[in-house]
Amino acid sequence: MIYPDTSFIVSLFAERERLHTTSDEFYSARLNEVWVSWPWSLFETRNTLRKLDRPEAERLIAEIRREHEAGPFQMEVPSWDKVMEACEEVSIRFSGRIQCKSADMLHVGFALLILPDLFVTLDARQARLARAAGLDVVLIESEDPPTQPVAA
Amino acid sequence: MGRNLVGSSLGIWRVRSSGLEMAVERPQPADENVGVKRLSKRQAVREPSILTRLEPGESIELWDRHGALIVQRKKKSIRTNEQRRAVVHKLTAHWRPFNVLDLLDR
Repeated sequence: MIYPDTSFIVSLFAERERLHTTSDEFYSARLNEVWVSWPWSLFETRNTLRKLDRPEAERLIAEIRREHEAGPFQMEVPSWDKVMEACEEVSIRFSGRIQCKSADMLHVGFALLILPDLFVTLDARQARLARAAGLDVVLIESEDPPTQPVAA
Repeated sequence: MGRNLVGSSLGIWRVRSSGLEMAVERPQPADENVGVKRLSKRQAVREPSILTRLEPGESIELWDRHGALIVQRKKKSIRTNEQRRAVVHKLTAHWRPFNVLDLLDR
């Protein structure tokens, strides 16, 4: 099971994103895995695509939905209370030493509930937080696709 | 203390004891007898949730005096990765280059 954060999903579905090719190769090599999303990550993805102010954004959003209906993506709907509980714990443990936005904590908090095999992101700060929380993290940061999780 | 068995239409027996109810599986009979009743169009109109239980690819016959109407839930198509890539290319290839991390920080 793989959990991609918003940065990865947007990169995967937008060809002109800086690291799209790497994200696409990483995804294409793992189509047999279950890729998990949840309502927050999908909302953040939609909102981020709309910020580009392109007329195709809504069709692209429909495409992401289709990847859930007929592709390897699967949406999980967690208990909001449990997500908040996990986020609070992440905040207490790491906020002092890793400066992260609250939205980043939501991704890590949710991931701690589902415990994916891999947490995939393009955001180095988020990767650091997820790694500190004990998750196996893949950071997409260059045009060379990573093959193994980055060591803590 | 005596137990009061009450049959239910779902093949589950309720065991009532001391005012508490507990659903337990009915022991499997040697031969299964399954009651099948024709659904009418009228029933489907009055209770549309009957149709929402259909899984992709499943169908159901609804009868009235004119005959049967077959309602089928469309099977989910499996899309290839190439199809996804083609749509992404068509929709976004002409966009200006961007960095998703900048967008998320806005």
